Amino acid sequence: MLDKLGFRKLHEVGITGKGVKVVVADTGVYSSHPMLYGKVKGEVSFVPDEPVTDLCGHGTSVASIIACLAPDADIYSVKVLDKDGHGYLGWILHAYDYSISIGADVMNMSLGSPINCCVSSIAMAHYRAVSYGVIPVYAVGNYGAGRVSCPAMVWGSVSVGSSNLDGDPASFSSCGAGCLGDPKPLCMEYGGGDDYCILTAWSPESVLFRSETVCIRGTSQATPIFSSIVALTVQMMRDKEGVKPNNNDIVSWAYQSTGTRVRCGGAGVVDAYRYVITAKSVGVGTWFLARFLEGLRSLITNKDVLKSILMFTPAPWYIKAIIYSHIVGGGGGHS
Amino acid sequence: MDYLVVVVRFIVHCWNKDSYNKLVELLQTKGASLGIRLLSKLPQLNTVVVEMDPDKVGKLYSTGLVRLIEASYPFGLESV
Repeated sequence: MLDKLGFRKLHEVGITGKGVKVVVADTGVYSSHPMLYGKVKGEVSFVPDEPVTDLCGHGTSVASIIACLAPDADIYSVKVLDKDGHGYLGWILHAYDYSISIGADVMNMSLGSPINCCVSSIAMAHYRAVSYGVIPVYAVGNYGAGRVSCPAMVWGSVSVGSSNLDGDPASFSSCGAGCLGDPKPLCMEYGGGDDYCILTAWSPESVLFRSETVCIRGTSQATPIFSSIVALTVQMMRDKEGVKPNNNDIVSWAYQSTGTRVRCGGAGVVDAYRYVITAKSVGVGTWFLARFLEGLRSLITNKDVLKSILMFTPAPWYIKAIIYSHIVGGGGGHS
Repeated sequence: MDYLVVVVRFIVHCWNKDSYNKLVELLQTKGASLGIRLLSKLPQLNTVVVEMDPDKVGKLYSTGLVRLIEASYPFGLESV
């Protein structure tokens, strides 16, 4: 994973997620695990009658992926699912409240519900957290094609699917339209597919099965991979460029960094190195331009038609060149 | 048993911070007499979690402090 998705190249130049606060809203984290020791800076449980530690194992699995790919990020465990991996909206909402209160940069949610939540308190919580600078990253769900999980369906949110080794979506990975028709998932990562699983930490205190590691798959595992990419990008933009990216920047860069379109229209598998380079090159605040170009791209499929339109467009040649390269090239053209 | 009392957990989302503060005060002082139990507070979201008979939903809306009331539906993890 470190090499396949370009993480190692970023680590070698000091982009490791240092100083970035990542909330893991899950079943808790077994923070004494060798892969996580010293990396969990805060723990809280909103599950009644359960301690902060992970009695399931899932949260430990998710946190260990972040600890590996963004090794200097500060992890905050918010327990909102119980030992069986179940929770309620009333518990889940605490993750947003907590993330805002600590000034979190990224909030990883490898959880979901099959209900429609386009107009709901979780959608309100999402937009409120985003307005405070939190970047929520959601698992798109494991329902296959045609059904997207809540809260991944919320319009404009960062949702992550899981891909097979060949880059095609895994059969279980949800895809479809979000609340206002936007393609979900936004992007994919190698979180385990039909042909492989990934080795992660597990909680030895789990009531499901006691183990220190597990080979597991799902959009739950793909999500922390992208959360790690976001953490590294936040650090790079904050330290090198002096700006803090927001949710819309993260969405925009996903499309611009891959330049590919896959089933359901998402951005495909995102490479960490390419993503960070795109963020640095493009900069913040390009979300509206990206959405505009995205719309144009879907309307104009014929290159000759596009050339004709641009020829008669009263704009400087370099503006036309940028528009043409974005539409025909399918992205920012960074490599 | 002559009847069954159903108590459901609800998410109560207030209009703003002022509404939230007034609702929390109302529930803390008169919650028991209203039959509404305050379970937890989410001050950053102007939201509270309560436990009550679904028949009381209208009573909460009538306070004018509440924007949305939603039952606390289930969630689960996304691994296969």
